[in-house]
Amino acid sequence: MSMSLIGVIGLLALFGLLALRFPVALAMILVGTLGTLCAQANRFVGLGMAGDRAWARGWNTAMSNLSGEAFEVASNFNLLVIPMFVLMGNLAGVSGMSRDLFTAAHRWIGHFRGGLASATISACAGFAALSGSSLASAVTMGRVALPEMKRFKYAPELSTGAVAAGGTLGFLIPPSGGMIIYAVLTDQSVGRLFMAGIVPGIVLTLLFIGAVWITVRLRPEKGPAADPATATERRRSIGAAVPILLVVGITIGGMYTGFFTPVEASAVGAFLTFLVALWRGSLDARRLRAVVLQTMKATATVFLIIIGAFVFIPFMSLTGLAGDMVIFLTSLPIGEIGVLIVVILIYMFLGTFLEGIAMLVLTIPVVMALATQLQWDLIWFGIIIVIVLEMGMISPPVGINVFVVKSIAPEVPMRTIFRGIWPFWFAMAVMIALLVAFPGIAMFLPDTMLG
Amino acid sequence: MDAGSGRPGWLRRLDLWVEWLTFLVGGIGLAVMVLLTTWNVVVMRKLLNDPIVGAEDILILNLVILVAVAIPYGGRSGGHIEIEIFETWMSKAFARWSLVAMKLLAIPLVAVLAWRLFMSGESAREFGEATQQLLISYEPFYFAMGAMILLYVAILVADLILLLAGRSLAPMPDLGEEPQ
Repeated sequence: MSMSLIGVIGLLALFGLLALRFPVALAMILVGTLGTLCAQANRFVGLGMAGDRAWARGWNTAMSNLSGEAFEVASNFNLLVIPMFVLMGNLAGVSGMSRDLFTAAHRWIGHFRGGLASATISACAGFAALSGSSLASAVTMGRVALPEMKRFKYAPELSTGAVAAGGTLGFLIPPSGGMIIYAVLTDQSVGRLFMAGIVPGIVLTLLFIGAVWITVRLRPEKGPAADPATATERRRSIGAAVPILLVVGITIGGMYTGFFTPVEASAVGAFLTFLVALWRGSLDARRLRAVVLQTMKATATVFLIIIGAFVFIPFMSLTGLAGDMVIFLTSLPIGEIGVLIVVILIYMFLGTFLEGIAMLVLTIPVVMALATQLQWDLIWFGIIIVIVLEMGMISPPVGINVFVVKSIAPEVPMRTIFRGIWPFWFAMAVMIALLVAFPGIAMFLPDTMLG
Repeated sequence: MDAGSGRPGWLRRLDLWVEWLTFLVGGIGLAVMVLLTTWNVVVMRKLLNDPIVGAEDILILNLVILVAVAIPYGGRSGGHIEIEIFETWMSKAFARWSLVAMKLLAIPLVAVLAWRLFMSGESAREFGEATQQLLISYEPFYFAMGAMILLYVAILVADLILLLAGRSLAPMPDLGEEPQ
């Protein structure tokens, strides 16, 4: 049997298991283990070894991969950033920082038409610099901003769309959970990826605000102006946001200047956020318990899926299927940009029914081989992938951020929320086009970073 | 039976036990991770230029324990990602029995992972696998991870019992916290 055929059977089995709601990580472990067993045995039989010995060899390799990769992932020093950045985001979520961010943005730009929606997006961007999760950003900011926009009679599609789209910034602006996973799977520097996400994160925030501006320009009744704040209120709101700016400045600035490694920055960031939460008196025993348990839950999600990827990827390499797909794609008469567009379109399609992190780990073996073959910069490519995954988070029918917003605003029908996300979805498409045309948007900071 | 969440009494007891274990080990583990790294970096390395010997070893072993304890908790709290979109196209009976089949597949798979971790622990002792600076043997950490993966097996078995009893899978109550 050809190795490619084994790879195809493995992929089909994987998708079958996923369709039947087998957990993604376990599906990758199962297919990766059985696939490695079969592929290794097949390879040794092909080299002339007796069947029973070939299968025994395959069994040994598969079993050694299984426990070896699981322990390797759990004891990977660089992955310490995951629990610590998640902890930092969860502490920020319960500390009230999100409300301070929204209040500051509200005071400064809320009096413009659509200003509250723009303030929501700005606050989401600020919160994203503390939290690596788009869900956490959408939930936290949605609970603060949606009642306020309802009070000022914002159109539900604009208010819910702004929260759902703004939440996705948590995936792009560092620290980003998606970037950490991409970095681990592609062997790239977490610090460089984080730096590469900063300018695109700011540009995308501005594009989102532009989408709000165009929306209210066309339909002014969708985003009425809020009451203007006094100069004192504005000053106070900035004062309240100072601790957040300090935490973000120290962690991100520390990484940029080379003063901290990402692991060190994550610990210092979590520690400072803990101090801010204590200082604000917002951390009682109940909230502390919730913070710890939510951090452990996210740790479980990410680590088990990385273990799955590390068991699955060697199987894919063994079959050579990724290489075959690369040869197929690069032989198409569409040029390098055409291949990139095909990859982006495939991701957009997958994003309509697959969860972002699952999509990332399932596609990386092929996409990595392709990017390497075409000599794309893997940091720049990672930023593009992260933005396409963000599009999936708000794409119908399973955009996860849309469901989160629905849970906060149950009175708004799903179709209204999905209608509201389109201006932001197109803003993301513009962002991707900008990154393809001007890779420096992503690469400027990592190329000038120290340490 | 817990009317609110639809969990039978034995499952509530299991949940309580898993949750407390996760909270205690996770709380201590996260605190060690954050405080040790911050102290080692900010005070010992940057200020005194005298980093703690073996800090990295302790952090790595701490992470192993944290991940080991988190995995079964993720199994009970809905932390492990599943693709649920196709469920809407399934009949109720097919959805239920396919889930039973998936649990029957997952249980031996995860049990094999636990078994292999125990085997690797024995190999670690045999070949002297240890951390780089403090030379702490990996053996007990393989065993700890294996034990926690066995706990995940128990949780999958609990899921299977619920399904076979005709009950829906009821994860732990949501821990969502109201922001300020």
